[in-house]
Amino acid sequence: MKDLFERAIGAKISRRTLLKAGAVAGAATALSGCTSEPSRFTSPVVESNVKSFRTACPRNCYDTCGQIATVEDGALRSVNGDPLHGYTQGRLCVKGYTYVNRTNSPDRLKYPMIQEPRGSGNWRRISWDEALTIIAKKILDLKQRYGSTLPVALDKYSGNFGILHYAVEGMFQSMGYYTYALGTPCWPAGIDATNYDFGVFQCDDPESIAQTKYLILWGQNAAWSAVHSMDFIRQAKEKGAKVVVIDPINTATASQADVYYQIKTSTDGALALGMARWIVDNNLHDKAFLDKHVKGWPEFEAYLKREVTLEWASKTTGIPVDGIIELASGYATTRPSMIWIGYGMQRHTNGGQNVRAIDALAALTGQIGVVGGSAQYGHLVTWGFNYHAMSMQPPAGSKGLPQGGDAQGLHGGASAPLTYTNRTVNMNNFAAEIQALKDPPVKMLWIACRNPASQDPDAADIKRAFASMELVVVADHFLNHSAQLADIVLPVTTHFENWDVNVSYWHRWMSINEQAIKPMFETKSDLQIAWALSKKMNELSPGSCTYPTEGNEEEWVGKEFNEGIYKLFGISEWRELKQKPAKAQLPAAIWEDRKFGTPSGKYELYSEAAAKNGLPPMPTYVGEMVAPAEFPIRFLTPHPQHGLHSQFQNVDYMMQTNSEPLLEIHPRLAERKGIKDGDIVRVFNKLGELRLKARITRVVPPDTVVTYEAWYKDSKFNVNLTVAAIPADMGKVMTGNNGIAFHDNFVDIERA
Amino acid sequence: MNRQFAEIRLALFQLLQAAYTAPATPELAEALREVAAVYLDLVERPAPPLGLPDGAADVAEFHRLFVGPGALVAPPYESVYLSTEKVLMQAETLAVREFYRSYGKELAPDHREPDDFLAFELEFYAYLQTQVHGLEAMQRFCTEHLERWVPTFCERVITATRSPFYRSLAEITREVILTEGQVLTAIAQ
Repeated sequence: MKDLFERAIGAKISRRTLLKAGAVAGAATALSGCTSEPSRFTSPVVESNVKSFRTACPRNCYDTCGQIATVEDGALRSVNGDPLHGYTQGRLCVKGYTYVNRTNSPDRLKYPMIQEPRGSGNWRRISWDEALTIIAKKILDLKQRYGSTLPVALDKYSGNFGILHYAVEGMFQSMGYYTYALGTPCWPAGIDATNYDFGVFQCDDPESIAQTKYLILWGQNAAWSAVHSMDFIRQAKEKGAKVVVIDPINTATASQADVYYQIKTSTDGALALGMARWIVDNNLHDKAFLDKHVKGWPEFEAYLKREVTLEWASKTTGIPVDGIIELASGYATTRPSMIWIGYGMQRHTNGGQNVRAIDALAALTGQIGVVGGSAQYGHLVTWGFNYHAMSMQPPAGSKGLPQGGDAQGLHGGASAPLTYTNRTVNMNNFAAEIQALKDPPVKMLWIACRNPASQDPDAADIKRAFASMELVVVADHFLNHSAQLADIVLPVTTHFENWDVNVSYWHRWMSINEQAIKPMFETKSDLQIAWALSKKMNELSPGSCTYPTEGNEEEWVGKEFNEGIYKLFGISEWRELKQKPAKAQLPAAIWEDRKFGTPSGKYELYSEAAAKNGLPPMPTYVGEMVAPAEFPIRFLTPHPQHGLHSQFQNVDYMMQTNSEPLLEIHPRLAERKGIKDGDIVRVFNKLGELRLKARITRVVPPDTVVTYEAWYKDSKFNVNLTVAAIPADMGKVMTGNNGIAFHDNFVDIERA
Repeated sequence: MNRQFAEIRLALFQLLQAAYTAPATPELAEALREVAAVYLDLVERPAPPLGLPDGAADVAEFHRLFVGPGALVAPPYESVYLSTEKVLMQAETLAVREFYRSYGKELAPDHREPDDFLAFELEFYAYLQTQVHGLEAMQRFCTEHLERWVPTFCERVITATRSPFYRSLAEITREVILTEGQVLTAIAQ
């Protein structure tokens, strides 16, 4: 580098260029959305420090872990379990332990972005103001054209179950009457079944698993999807309990059991009825309990004696007769005995009916209201918040779906006042129904805490539904399959970046979720988005949105609490949760008073309510869906270990641990099809197809192939390309719509 | 160091910082082309020719490479290259923050982006040029930070980009950073 400076003096470069450089660089600084100061930098005032915060995992998961987030100088450094949480006991799960990697992923949505045209992949960054302006203008435009905000539809579910996330529903309700997806794809058949049987959707304290002497995990893969319960199972085992798993797949949970029964998929009701028949024949049923607390016992007994035999149950379920006897005998004679009914098990056309048959076993043996007994499914008892975040009402004069009143002026003269309501579509038949809506049609879609392009059946039809919209907005953390189909993506905070409060649908604990770090990049929580959008709506059209335009998130957590919650949890002030999670003060055996919420006040083996809804009144056997001749192989797509639906698996760390989906095929089936381990297999039916690598294994039945549903980074892989929106038998009563028979999916396979 | 050379260097780092902050304007590209060509000639390094950005295509490419919304091709953050976890906000980020602090600077409060974002590191580096005892600081910042990751980042861009403009930008950036050590030594003498 000789004569560097001399040569520099002689360098041909204009002063103008050098001056321009500064100006251009300065202009670029302003464009990046930095402060109005000329530089991004300022003089430091903050001291470096390490702080801990109480957070709660807000995912759709039994365990809803208490967490401790450690933050160093405003950066999330580690996330561990909260030792003061009585159910999760200071531990997370494999997904929870990737939270630092997930929160700090360079692939996170950072800024509002727009894709023009939709689906082109030509994304560019826009400011929040621009994004909200486009959105608000579209809403106001639709309202003007159609006379209401019914053309705006919301699809939201369980991506984040923190209570403040109901701000999304609140945001739309405060603009007018709107269209929304009603129902739940997850567990509704079993909820209705529980409701027909017990009359109230509740269950025993799952910590009482530790007190049981005989545990049946029925279609329940707790080792993967409710891992903290394994400690209570361990405690029971150490006291001599026997653990039994019934599942079509020899799961990780089955590997921890004393006995594993591989049942023919969707025939669980037949097994339960076979067990019931044996129990009755051997006089092991609790006659006193049946007489006093159960409605319909004589009718049910007659059915069992008339139509149920062990041979029939064995033929239907594929479990040998002596296996059924072993199971029935163990369950009926080892007391207390408990059954944990899994959600996967009821994702069938006869799912609800099967749950009723299993519930019946607990009634038959008088083990309802007994600690360590019962048939467990789930509850919503701890969810009695104010839902203040969605308490705002439509602006006066808003129109929606007419209800009541004199809608058509038929009586002439002074008519009764007309009221309006929101319009719903079936969440479990979303693609078809949203496209079919008229008067008015749906023209705008908002997706939050949901990923229909990955999770809904008939992924191809979801794509068509999105394509038919004038505007699609997706609020999320990553560019998942739904976000890829959006016009605008809005970057949202993780739970470490916002305040919230969380409870579980399984255990009885409540946890505060303190904000641990500031929102990264330009992320906002769903609540902050609601405030901001309301502000923009009212700027453009005063009075068009009644949602508050600002607030304090921590204070809004406080607004969710009421006397009922305080009494239930035995706290006097919600800020006490900052010291530790609280547990609902309920009897461990929730039915200890044997007072049921059914019309008869008893456990109903015979339910007139079910009959009124076109269902069998008793838990009689309803056959499983039969494979069509053309597609003889069942394709099960249960929940994975490394992800929760389309969350977590896409994170780099998880991709290293588990890099690709595998199709699990039994060696007999593989041989018939000429498929070897590692071959690429085409899985197909009328709806669509997938290609993935074969894994030959005996953990799956010979007539079934299995792969775990997930979103892999940068992959188009989606099991729901082959899954049709077949409804489960129940769910409408308690959740608005019947469930989805995800596991009644039939395909054929061939080497690709 | 003479004033002309100092001004060329300052302009260069300011322009590079701008080029990683937002999609390049034709104005920026022209200024950078001229300054980079002159500078790389002075320091006797190959000077990749820098064209003009290709309108909407390069706007999209800028986002695809550095911003999102999809998985980033070349995340412009030091910790992604140097930390064991290869994510944001790691110990490396806090070390950069500490470096800024020790020279009297910190990101403005409403900046919720990692301190080790390339444009921030370049802006800070440009700032050091204007400081009286900046040379020692620059030598440290270059050795401890810029040199350790920016060339790898540039290689990732070069391999993965479809854009001639962004390929040239990355090549120029790599040349500049790879030579910094020598140049600073020459200035010191």
